[in-house]
Amino acid sequence: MIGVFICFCGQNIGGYINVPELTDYFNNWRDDVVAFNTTFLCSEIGQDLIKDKIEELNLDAVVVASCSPKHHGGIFQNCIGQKMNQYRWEFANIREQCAWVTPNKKNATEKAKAIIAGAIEKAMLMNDIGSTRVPVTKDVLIIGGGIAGMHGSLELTDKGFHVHMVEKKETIGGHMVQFDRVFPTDDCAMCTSSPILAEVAMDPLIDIYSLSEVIEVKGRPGEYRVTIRRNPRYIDESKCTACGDCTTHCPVEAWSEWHYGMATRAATYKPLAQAVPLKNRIEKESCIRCGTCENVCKANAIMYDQQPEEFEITVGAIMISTGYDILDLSNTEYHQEHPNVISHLQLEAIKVPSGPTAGEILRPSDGKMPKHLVFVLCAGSRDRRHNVYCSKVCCMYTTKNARLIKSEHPEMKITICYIDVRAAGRGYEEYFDKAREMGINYVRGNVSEIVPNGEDLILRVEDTFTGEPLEMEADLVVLSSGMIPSQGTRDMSEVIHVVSGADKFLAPVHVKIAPVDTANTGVYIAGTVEAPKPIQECITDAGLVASRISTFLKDPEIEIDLKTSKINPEICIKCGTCADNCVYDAIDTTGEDFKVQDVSCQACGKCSVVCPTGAIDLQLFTEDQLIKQVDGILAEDKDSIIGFCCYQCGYNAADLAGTAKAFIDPKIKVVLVPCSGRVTIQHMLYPFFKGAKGVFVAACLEGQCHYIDGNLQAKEKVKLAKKSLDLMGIGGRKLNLFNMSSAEGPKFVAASKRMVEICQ
Amino acid sequence: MVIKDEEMDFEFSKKLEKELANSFAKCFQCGTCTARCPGGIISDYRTRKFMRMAQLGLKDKILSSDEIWNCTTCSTCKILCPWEVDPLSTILKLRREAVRAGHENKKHDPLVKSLANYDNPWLQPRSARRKWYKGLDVVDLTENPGGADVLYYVGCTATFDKRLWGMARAVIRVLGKAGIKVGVLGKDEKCCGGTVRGVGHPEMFEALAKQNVEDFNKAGVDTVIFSCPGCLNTIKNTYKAEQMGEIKPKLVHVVEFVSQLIKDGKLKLDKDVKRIVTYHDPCHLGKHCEVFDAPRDILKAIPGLDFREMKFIMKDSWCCGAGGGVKTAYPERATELAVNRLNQAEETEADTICSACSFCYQNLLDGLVAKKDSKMEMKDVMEILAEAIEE
Amino acid sequence: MSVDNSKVKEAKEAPKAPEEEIKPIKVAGECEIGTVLDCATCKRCSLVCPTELNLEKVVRISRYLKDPKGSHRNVFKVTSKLAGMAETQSWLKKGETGTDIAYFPGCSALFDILLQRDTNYSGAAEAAVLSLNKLGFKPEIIYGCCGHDLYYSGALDEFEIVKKELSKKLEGKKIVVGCGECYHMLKNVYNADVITFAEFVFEQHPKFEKTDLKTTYHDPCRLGRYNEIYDAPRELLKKASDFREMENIREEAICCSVSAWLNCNKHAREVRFNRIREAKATGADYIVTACNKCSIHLDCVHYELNKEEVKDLEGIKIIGLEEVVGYALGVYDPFKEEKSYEVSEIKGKFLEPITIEKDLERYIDEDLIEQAFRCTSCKNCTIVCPVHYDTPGLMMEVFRPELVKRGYAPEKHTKIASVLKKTGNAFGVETGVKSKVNPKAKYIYFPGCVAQYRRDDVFQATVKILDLLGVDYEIPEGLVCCGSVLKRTGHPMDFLIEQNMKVLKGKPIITSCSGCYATLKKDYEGLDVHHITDIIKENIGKLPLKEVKKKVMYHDPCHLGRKFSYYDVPREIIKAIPGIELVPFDKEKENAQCCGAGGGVKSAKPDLANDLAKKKMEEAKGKDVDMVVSSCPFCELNLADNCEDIPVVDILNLIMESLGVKA
Repeated sequence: MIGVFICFCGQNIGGYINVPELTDYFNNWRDDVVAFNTTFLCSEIGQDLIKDKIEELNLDAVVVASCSPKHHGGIFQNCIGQKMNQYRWEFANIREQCAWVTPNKKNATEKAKAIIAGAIEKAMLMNDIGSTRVPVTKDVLIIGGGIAGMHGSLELTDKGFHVHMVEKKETIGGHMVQFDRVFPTDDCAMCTSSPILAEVAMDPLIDIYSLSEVIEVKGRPGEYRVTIRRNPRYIDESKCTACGDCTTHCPVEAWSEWHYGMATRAATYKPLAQAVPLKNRIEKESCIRCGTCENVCKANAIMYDQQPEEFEITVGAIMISTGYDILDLSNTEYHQEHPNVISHLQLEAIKVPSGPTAGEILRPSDGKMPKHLVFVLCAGSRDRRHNVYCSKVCCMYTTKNARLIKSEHPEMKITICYIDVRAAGRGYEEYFDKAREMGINYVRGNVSEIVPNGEDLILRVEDTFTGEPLEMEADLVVLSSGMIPSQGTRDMSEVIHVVSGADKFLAPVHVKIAPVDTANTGVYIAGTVEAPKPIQECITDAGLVASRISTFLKDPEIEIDLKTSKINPEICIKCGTCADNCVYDAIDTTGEDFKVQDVSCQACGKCSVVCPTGAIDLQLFTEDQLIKQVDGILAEDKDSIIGFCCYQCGYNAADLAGTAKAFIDPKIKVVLVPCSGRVTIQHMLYPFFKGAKGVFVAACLEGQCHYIDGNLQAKEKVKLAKKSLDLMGIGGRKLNLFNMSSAEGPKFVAASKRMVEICQ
Repeated sequence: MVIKDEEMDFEFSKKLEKELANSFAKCFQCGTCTARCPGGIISDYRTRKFMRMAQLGLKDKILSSDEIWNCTTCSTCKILCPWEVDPLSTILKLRREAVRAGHENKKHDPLVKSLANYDNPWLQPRSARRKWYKGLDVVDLTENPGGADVLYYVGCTATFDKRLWGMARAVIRVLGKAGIKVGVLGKDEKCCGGTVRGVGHPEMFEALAKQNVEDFNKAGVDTVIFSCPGCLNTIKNTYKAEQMGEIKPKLVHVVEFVSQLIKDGKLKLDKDVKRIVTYHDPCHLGKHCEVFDAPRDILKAIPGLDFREMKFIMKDSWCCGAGGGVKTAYPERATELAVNRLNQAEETEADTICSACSFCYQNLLDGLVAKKDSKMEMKDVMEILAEAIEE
Repeated sequence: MSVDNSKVKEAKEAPKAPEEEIKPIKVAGECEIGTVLDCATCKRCSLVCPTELNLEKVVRISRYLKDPKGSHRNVFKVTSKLAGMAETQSWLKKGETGTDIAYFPGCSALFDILLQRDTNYSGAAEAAVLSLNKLGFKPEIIYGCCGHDLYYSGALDEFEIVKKELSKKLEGKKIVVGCGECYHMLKNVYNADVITFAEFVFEQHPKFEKTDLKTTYHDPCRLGRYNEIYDAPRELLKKASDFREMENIREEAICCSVSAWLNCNKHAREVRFNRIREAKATGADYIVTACNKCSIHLDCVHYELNKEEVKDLEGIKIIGLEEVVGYALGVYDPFKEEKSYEVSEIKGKFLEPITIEKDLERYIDEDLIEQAFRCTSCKNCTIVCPVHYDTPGLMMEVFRPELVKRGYAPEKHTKIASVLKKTGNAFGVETGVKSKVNPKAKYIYFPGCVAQYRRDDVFQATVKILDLLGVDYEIPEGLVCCGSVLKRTGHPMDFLIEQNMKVLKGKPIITSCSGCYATLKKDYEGLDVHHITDIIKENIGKLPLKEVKKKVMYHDPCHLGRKFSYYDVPREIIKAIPGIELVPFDKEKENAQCCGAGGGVKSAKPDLANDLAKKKMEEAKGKDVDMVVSSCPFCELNLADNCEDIPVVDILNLIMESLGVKA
């Protein structure tokens, strides 16, 4: 007996779908199905209803017809778990994917019938799923030693965890230590951050690996095996005293990356006086191997032939805080290649007291003080050709710099061109207000063009308040360029397979309610790795991650649900195809019979797709369950277009389309799969046999599959299935694969539209 | 002036929005479009304001506005817009609505009438279309379908403005030299309809378009070449977007066709041309059809020629001011913009400004006349090329 | 069904009396997996089936009932459903086509696409067309799916639709077919005018260049046992290549192990490994076959990545017969790398779903019922079956219960069932059970219906011997029939199990009947069951056996012998009696022929049972023996019924005689 519980969700479902009709329909549907409805199924009353009925009617499985499982999935699982196996339930997403995307109530009700019928059919085949316990390691890896990484490590060592901190640069500290002041307090950035630097440097529970990168992460939550590559410093860290003799005698003068090309340095240097570790470094590209430093170094620390070394550590959890870079606008309409068009980070490098001009604002081309300084806000931001998004902090740091310069040079003409000033935050509006009072000229209008005019520049902008086009002459232009994920951040989605959005920032499981958790258990993100944000938010993130990690690692063991794949030894021919296809090495091929190692298995189901005999199958999304679900849907509405959506991206995008109340043709019916790689050719072809008008697979963006290559495998499978559909005369164009990130609701809408067009 | 509640017709804006691919609803009023709009330089026309008025649904205000007719359809706004809103399509749409509401620009009346009666905007009889090619070896494809290698669609402007015959005839000469037999549609050639569409008469546009599609498919050639980028853009892109029917032959601008001939070695340039030349990108060839390199390749291939670039070229190029019906309705404004562009050309110290567009040719020529003191000469790329060819 | 058994029988006997030479494939213990799936429908069982059962039909219809999932994630079952519903596009790349004959290339292009292997399966079709061209024919190509896989995977309703569509295309044409499966379907199911590529080419007496290929030929079941086409392919190969024969060929050929993509598992794998090993032993480089599926399934070996195990299988390639012919004719290159199919993008056909309600009645006909109740559950078939398929399992677990449920049980069976329900024994005796109450006894003696009501001598002998050996036993009150007869005729037997279990109380059991032995051991749970001969053998020293000067033969009861590999104990007991000369039957132990009584055949089809028993007894007569001994009262009953000259006794009676005790 299957119990179907339909939720009104107040008016959220009840307003769009005829819930009483639906309940009646399923009550008279089949003898082994009973249906109930209630106003809020997630409420205690609703949960009690489910629990009571399970007991009263001795239900075999439950179908919850309500919102997306991404919302209240956990609640229902818990609730059902109190009465029977917590996996003996299936959801029917009739809110995001039906009620909210189908304007016509009759159509929505019909669509809901098909969705629920599919869910019931799947629930019929539900199995009990058990769990197991595995040990965890109490060490933590922090990747990126910026302000978030430093704060997080101190929080963690306070709780007694051992921290390994990996930093790509020669010193930890990140962007913050490069700033002059920070808004809205105008504090000195270095004065604020140097105590933290020192504390991290001295903490016995923190191991700092500078000039290092994480190149591989293997293992499982609670026991990740991490390979780190330490790049050579060419100076023996154990001997160097950072006396600076080598720097003084070095004949090389090269542009300093640390100062964004605004200053020079020797080939051997330390980026700042407060560097951690406080050691010199030889930069290989600029070093001419003259041997001078070797001669002057009293500590004998120079090591020209130092090699990169790789080593492995084992950690229980990982925090990623690899930060941001800024957009390079050279060779665009912003002409950043012009010497007097500089980025705000370059301005900071000029402005810091330890900088090349000792803090004086002098323009790069001729060292003169500018008469008219123009700040260009939204340079490359809110712009579909560069960054679609708003970088959140530019308005404030631009105002900060303008104010600081104006207060020192009241005679200087300062103009800020903007689209909107976003000054939301404690004390921000007051800060902005003061800037205007100081005589900084805010022009509301986006700079359409910067035209080099000798050493000066001409800017074209409409003053949208007067509605007149302006032609401004400036002698120094500062671009408030948007933030983009740093190279390190982008690498992380490759190395640890953390999902990232279309903007390449790493994506949390839920932007609102799980802002630092990733889809990988035991891997967390903090700071600008997730999105542009100010320093205080990075600190907040880091604190939260420390708390999440200490929760995760609090016991010596953690529990793992066995939603894994399983092999039937009777059918298995031990061909090894599954093992070859498993990126997690989860299939043990050494014994008499092949076995799945439950701890390693990530339950993506790619193995079951390639098995020639059908011996291996994923427990929670079995081959037959998915086929039955399709059967159920098509029995209710044979004109459907079946969309297999991956849990990480496609399904989320479909939910987002619902949240945005976009229109999606009611023909579109979503079938959830853990990974697009779980979809077999049978799944792609079978719906046609049952009359479906089309089939599509919604997968993660290429290169961003949560299970590494599931979407690429799906692509391959779709290609074959399309070809065979063509051959059989059915038409391969009715089967398609769409790649979308979890944030791309509109892409799902477009994909649905496209499918409806094709399959008319 | 107070905007009254009843003036805001959101149904109107909703309807427009639905019919446009990149809706003005997303415009966040940054003004990028306006800061660089050629129409704005010569008038009170502010693109951004129209976008805002469209958002607010100020139907009557928009439709009765005279300013809307100042857009030269140069597409700069579309290229610069950071949010990819496409103000140009919105403006064209608004113009269409204005005409439908009876607010057509009266100065376009002769043009529209002429088109209705003679299939051309210049109030000329159909038979006059044959004049320009008198004495040249040209096949009339309406009489002899398939009798030529290519169809040359010369366009109304070059057909009827004698000053441009040199350009059209140069095309025939150059192609002839490469051994290509050129056909035309003779007196049956018709306006592409771009102008009437631009000034808001979609029905007329549609009738012309359908006729043209049929004529092209009947001509029996596999390539149609154009001198006028306005015609090319309309027939190649707009017909397709508005589903006017499939055209079988390939559609190319003459500079694309000829630069390929030169590349393939089918056209030998053996005479020195002693000119200092700068090139003006026609908006419809450049920004609309994205043909930037072909004319430059031709010029660079001409022996002896000193080619110089202006400051604003390719996508950043300034409009000559003639397009979008501005030249018809406000000839003095068009000339003002032409003078503007000629001043930029003079900065290069070139003695010749050339383009690859009948309309730019006409307007820049008028600009030269207005400037009086200019020593520069106006030429088409093809005319200069013809000078490099031995008789 | 157009392949009738008599034909196969003839084929079996025609060339070289193979019955004598059939090599049993050794069974490792009992094998009862995948009741519906495992049969490869290769018909090898027909070589030995005493009742000449048409198993293939029963299997198909059982599959219709169960709708089993296939290998490769069911992809091919789904595609074969789809392929019949739309218009297959023309995919052959090369060759001239016209109209003088028709050629049916099958689905090899589809397999090429979906399997993505190095081997070019569609090459056979291309080679066929090119060869036909060379021989002066320009065949019209008929694209489509013959529906073989639907037919054999039990998607019979869908198959009807496919058949209807394809029949239209085939009408009035002479069709050349390369693939064995297509040929079998077109010839025997569609009744089309069809000829195999091999025969067609052979008739043309083509001039071949002998190639340097070293080949061996794998007989596809569909061409071989189903249609007796053995010679044409061999003749062609002998002319075209350096040809060698494998060990198991012609009617005895071993199947490629998989039918209709259904039953790939470790048993199937073992079969194809063995087949490849056989081929390798010939020294050939190429296994030639005339069936697309054989090619694919044998080729699987090269994709089974567990390298260690398949190391000795490397180095032999699979090639289509058409390809060899094409190569020999100089028109086709089998070593080319490109595939032979071409697929263009198409808009496609709109598909209407099939909404036929499944209904078994549609496929039940007299022949089917006849076949279903012919099986004596002797298990002889499992011995020669490459996958050790458990035919009786299918019959008793799946097929007969379904027919019985639908009221198709033979009258006699229904009667027995009702009698059993009433009296608790199969003979309807209401006078109560012989019992010996002794609750403290170690063993329970379970006499069984035959011994109790028809063969009192056996009953008495058992009791005496048990007493002699001092075995502490009881015959509790309330014992009923073990249920063997119900189980084997497809009737429910739960009520008997329930009743007996109440009485048996988990004590070890001794029985003298093979039927009871098998049933108590297999169908009851958790019982410790011993055959009386087991007890006797252990204690044989305690028995004062005297000389019996007789020449005897031992008949292996199927339920004791093949079912439990229980061959030696009775023989040892017989040999322990001084003076006895034990003469073997021609076929004994695992090859022993059934008495014909089992599986309800004796009651429902007495003629059949009698024929088989007579045959058996004829042999005994010919060997001039004094008596036939067995260890199953039911076998003895049937054998004795059919021979008046030679007595048939139970092994217990023989012991009694040796002990000098009259029962």
